[in-house]
Amino acid sequence: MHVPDGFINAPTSAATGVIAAGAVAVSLRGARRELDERTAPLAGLVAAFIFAVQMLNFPVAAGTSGHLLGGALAAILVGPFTGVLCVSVVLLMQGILFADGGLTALGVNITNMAIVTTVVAYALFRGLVKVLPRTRRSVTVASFVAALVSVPAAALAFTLMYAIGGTTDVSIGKVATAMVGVHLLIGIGEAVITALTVGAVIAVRPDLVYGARGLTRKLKLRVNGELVDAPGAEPEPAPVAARTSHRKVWAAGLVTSLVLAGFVSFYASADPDGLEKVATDHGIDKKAEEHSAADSPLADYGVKDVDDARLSGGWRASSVWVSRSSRAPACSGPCAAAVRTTRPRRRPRARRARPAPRASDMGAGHAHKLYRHGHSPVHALPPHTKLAAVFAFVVVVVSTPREAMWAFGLYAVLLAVVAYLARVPAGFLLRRLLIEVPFVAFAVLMPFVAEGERVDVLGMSLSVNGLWGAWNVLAKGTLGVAASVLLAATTELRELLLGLQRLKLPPLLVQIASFMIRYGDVITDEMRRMRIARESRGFEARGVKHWGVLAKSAGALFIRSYERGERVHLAMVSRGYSGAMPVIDEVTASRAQWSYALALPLSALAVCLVGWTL
Amino acid sequence: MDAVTASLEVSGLAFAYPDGHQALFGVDFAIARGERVALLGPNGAGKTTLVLHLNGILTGGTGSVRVAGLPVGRQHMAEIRRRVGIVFQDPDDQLFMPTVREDVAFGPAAAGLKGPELEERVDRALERVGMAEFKDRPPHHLSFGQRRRVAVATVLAMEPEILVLDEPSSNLDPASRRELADILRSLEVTVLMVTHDLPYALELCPRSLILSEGVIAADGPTGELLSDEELMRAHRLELPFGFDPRSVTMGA
Repeated sequence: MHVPDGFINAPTSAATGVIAAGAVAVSLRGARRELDERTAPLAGLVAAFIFAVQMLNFPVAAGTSGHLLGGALAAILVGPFTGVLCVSVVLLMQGILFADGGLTALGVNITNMAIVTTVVAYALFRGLVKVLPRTRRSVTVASFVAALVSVPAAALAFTLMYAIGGTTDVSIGKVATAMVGVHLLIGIGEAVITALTVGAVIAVRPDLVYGARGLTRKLKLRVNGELVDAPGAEPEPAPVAARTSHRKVWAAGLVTSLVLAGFVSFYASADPDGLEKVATDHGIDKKAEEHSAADSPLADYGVKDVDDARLSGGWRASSVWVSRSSRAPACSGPCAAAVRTTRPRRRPRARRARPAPRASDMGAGHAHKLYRHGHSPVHALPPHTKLAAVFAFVVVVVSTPREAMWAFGLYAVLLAVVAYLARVPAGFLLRRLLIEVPFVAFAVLMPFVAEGERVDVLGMSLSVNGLWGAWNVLAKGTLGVAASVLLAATTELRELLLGLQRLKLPPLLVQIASFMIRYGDVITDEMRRMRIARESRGFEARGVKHWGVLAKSAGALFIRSYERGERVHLAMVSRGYSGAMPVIDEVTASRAQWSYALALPLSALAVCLVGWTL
Repeated sequence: MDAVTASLEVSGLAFAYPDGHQALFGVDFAIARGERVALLGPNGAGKTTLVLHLNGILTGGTGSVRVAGLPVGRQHMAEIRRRVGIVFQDPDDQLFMPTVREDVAFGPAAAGLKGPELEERVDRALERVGMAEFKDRPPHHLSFGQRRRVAVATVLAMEPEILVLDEPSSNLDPASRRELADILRSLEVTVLMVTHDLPYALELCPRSLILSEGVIAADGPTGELLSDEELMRAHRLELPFGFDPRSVTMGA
């Protein structure tokens, strides 16, 4: 569901960008209410948890596995606002560091995957909790339904955006059918794991489940033999007044949404067609496991299971991928939604070697493997100038008319010049470009499924519009990925964060991101230790009946992540932290550095303007 | 502030965790300025819980804690946290910034220091733990012993009234353990060292408290407590094989 550059048109991208920015702004305030000054460390650790959990693969059906998306889980465990922030930060870092999800499509991605999932899940969850009896079991049931609906909801949101701003003509019905149908299935896995995880957490640390506040009991203390009430140790339980009066409204809303969901799923399954198959097979994209951007990013895209005979037959070019991926899980992920985006799913290296989908796949991902150490002039530029340049460049590329083919060639030349200056070898860049392959695969299908005027090529009837669409997505997506890869290859993680801060990204977001990165490895390590412990005792997740074990692992991991977040927070407040990070370093850029960095987007702009006038 | 004021005063402290587990059942003790005191106790005695009360991280139980006469509570929190420097057990919790320098600078910068003054404070703290040349390294690239020393530096940089160390010797090899002991001995601050490493306590702290089942079970000179076999057995404290506290000459 990580939408690449060029997939959704510029105005829609901009509009969703505004929506995403607004929602993130609201969430920043809301998260402060949920967590007060603990926001940065806790949200950072929860974000690290989410990306670790996304590596938790669960077997869905024969040859298929899914992985958690985590929006619903985050909303229920830490509250909707913090949930939105955590998932947004994960997406932001994926886009910038791993070229996963286009920079100009960040708004689309955040809106679908962070906002829609979280909001839908949480609204539904609160509604159910109000209607159901006030017990822990109800919380689990509510989590199940919330997660179940959140995934297809994100798919629908994507479809809506596609209807408004899609750059290719594929009928909306087909898109909706494919998206929702596939994601309904994935939603079931998401739902089971989410519910079991919430259940596992609630059994051990009920106080950590945001959505279950108010179910905790008053504590008693024994002091020198006497029992006394603990004075206000617990946060006030959320007010539950007016519960009864709204019960009917909530119930009606719930029934309506369930009926709708049922209807949609019926519709979805009634019309299986090529696109749906495609979507299932590879369009669905996976969330990239960020840090697992292991040494060779493409090494592990579990996604592209192009095991569809039609496809793999007619499409030799990617036969490598076909053969590799047909062994991998077919649609490994409650990919929040989108068909087309086909984002590369970077699977931990280990997965490659494995013949079958394994639930235990948690990567040994490490820091920032896209970075290539060097001392070139490009490396030396201040990070914020590079970020600004790359972003501007991608915007220009996306706004170029698709008919101006020569312009895209010139853009590629510009990037090649940058790569040369940065002393990034072509092989390095090209290998990392393969990140794009799954989505290229989708583009190749467009000429077959798009509507409108058709043309015969080598005896196949292809849609002219589809051909242009494929070209458009391919060219723009590739250039976007290449620009991001160059950025990531020449800028250290730490610098990127300083750059983001310098570009006035809200400091809280930067802090969350930096905690996520600082603790990503620590959390992933804990996950790995838990897996080793499980496997040492002979456990291997092979089917649905093992979901419970995986969910308990996720629950334990959440508790560990959260508690570490608390300990880090303690260490911070112990040294005087009160909600704002002290400023220790300032990054500055000279005018010369700015002009050097901006040379790239400005030349691109010139090309673009010529493209429009010709 | 007069020298008579204790660095730390704890009275009647009781606390239970949200899951209902009660860890402290009325703890009383005081530590004078400049003392080095060990807080001994078996696993699960409530040592770490007690530490978290010293700078107001855990609250909501009953009883009181005073640091240099100042009650630990909402209104003096910033001052309390500057004065009580806690070095946590896991340096990964303590070192959350991207480089050693930034981590050490975090505390003083949060207190409002900046520029050369801040830089000087960082250098001095790192100097005191012998980690000056690691200033620009990321913490996770250091060895465990080095990380522990940097963790001590992050707290020293705040020039605390009392230094509280939670299991300072855990996971250290003998050389790092000795280096840390030398560093701690060279510091002129009040030290409360929480540990179940008894020889380390004897080496560094003239006085010890035994925390057992959530209350202070004994308070006295370290050598005497460690030699009282009955007391030790009663609180699950065991000396390492072959270690005789009576035969050790105390280097205070």
